[in-house]
Amino acid sequence: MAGTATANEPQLVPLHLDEVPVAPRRRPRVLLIGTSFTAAASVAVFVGLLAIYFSVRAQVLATGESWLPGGAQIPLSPGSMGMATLGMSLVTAQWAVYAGRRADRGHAYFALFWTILFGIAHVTQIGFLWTQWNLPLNGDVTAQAVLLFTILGLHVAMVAAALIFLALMLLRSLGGQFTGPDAEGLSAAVLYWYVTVAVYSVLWYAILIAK
Amino acid sequence: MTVTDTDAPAEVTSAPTLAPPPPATGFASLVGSGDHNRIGRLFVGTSFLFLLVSAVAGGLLGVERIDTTDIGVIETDVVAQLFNLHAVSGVFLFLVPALLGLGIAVVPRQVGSPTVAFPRAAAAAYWSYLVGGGIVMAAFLADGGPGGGDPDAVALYVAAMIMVLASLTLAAVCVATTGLALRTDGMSLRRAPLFTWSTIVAAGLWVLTLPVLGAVLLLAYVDIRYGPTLIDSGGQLHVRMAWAWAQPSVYVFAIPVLGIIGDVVPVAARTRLTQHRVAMGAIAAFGLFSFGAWAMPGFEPTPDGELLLTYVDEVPFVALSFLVLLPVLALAGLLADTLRRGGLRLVSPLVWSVAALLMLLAGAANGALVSVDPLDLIGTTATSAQTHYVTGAAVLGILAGIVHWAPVLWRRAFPDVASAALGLGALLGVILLSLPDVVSGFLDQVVRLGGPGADASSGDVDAIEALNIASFAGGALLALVALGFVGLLLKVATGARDDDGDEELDPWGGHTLEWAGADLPPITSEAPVYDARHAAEVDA
Repeated sequence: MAGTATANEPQLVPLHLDEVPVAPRRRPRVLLIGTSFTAAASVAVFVGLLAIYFSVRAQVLATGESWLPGGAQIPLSPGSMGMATLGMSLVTAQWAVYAGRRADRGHAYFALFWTILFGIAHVTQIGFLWTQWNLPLNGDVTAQAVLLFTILGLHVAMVAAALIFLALMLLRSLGGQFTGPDAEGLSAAVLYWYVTVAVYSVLWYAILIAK
Repeated sequence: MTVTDTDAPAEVTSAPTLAPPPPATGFASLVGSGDHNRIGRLFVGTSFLFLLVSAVAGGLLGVERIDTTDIGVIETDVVAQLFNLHAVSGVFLFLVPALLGLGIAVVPRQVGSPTVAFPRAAAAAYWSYLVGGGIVMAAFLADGGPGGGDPDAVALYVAAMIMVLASLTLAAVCVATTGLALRTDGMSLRRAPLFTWSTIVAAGLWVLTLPVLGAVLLLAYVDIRYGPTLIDSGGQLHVRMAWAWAQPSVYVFAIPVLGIIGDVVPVAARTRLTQHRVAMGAIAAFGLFSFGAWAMPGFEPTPDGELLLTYVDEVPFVALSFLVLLPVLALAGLLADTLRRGGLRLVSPLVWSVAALLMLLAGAANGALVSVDPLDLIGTTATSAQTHYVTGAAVLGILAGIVHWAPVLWRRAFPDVASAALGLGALLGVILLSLPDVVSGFLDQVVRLGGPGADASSGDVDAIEALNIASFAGGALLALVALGFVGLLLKVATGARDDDGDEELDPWGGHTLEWAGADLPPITSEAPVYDARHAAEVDA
């Protein structure tokens, strides 16, 4: 009979809502959202610079001249190795987030260490590229030198900022923060790192490959 | 087997307790503060200093325009500098910081958060803005700025402007993150107050617009330091920045004003806003149509003193110029309906708000006119009137917000009659400043940057000069109103509080959480305080 409990059925107990444990409040993703806005601002800077780059390049090409002035060259190897290095860092960065979310701090530290190392290697590769392309910034300065140094120099600054962010998150992870369910800090730093790599991939193709 | 003695030695005394550090006082408390209310007030207060600078520069340019045949009052080579000082001080050192200051102070309270997101970053943004703005002024004094004679001072100006833009972007990130991530339980995004919503939209677009101008300046800095190859330090720099305060980008600085008006009008009408979600959609659409970083002209060669408006003949420019009218009209209709349904109270924030909305409508209508190619208004004073209409509307909106939220910010209300009178004076000032320029634009008066040679007014010179006098009078009236408002603001900010310190002061009967005090009511709609008050009245 409906509504009547038999001996084999569990007894229904009246539910007192004030006795039910309250689920912990979800932590607002403040750092992740703030980082997203910052990453958007960083991308906007490069979009603006690239727009000017293509505009000036089109004006030079319209005169029948080649884009790079005589004697200047952009060797493929350093920039492409820089791209490959950053590509590898994507794997280690995701590894860090994966380990951090599972509170596997050992792997998270290891992966972050490699990500930072790849970032530093990338900076040295771009520094080497600057010594090879014969576009001086003193003496006989050209518009090409101003544009290329500004754009790639700003990206190196972005890499440095992302590395500092990653290193800070590494230190805070060592202190016990930002692991397990609260891995937001790691996610935010890695998000900015992804955007940094994405920006470089565009610069690499548009400036260093397509020339 | 080892036995460990766990008894504490008798002679060990208890560890000395560390007293908490005393709270900072004086200058240290000011510099080290992360209090969103204080940071917001600092932004607002400082921005008014730069408004006065902009007014003085604009006044000098206005006097110069009275005689259209000669450059007589100021030297020819400082015209471009004054133009830039007027625009940069008005937009990037007054308008945006004042709106961000209101956002930093009010948005956390509106969403029920005890603080702004990243309070230290917000404080850093303020101090960077203050230092950067100060260096911009110093660079102008040292013959820098666009058209300046000292290359080092020009480079200093560019670097300081980059600093200002970076600090404003940082503050925008803080405000937008607060609105998105720190809303209290029950406040979904759809229930966010209109000012909060408008700051999210605006800050999101500022984050995409200000860095593009920063990119132009960064490239200019490198070019000036190591070149020049792309740009010289003359008027070229000004025309490469001018897109940022021209149509369509100029609208992006007026987005939060729609939110301020949307919050003030229902409170004055003592009823709910008609169609809150439609109003949110209108603000979002206004933001979408006002995004104008795509109009950045790059570094194409151009004669000195000529505006570089390469995009004005293109379809997006014309389409956006007309489309941006629609959301303003939609919001105006909603607010008019709200006023019709409610009981109208002629309080001063309403006067300022209605004035701001009218001027924004006039600006959008003027912008649509300017975009019509056969009228041939591009490059004439009708385009500068467009900027004056929209920025004037933004100034009126900012002052409406300050008057409306003064009890929250300073625990003291503005004197209502004096404030309303200033609002009416400001409305008259914006109309007088802008409308004559629209008419003289039809008479072919061009915007001058490079002296008399670039200023050949081909229309009726006498009529144009009379219109220029009227426009100057409007600017002077606005400057007087601004001085009067600053006087009232100082009185409010430094006077005794109107409340007893415990209770929140709410002279308007506000609808949103900033008026709720310490005990937040349940949030079941976009007007929780109105709901709670209404329920209490029904119960009584």
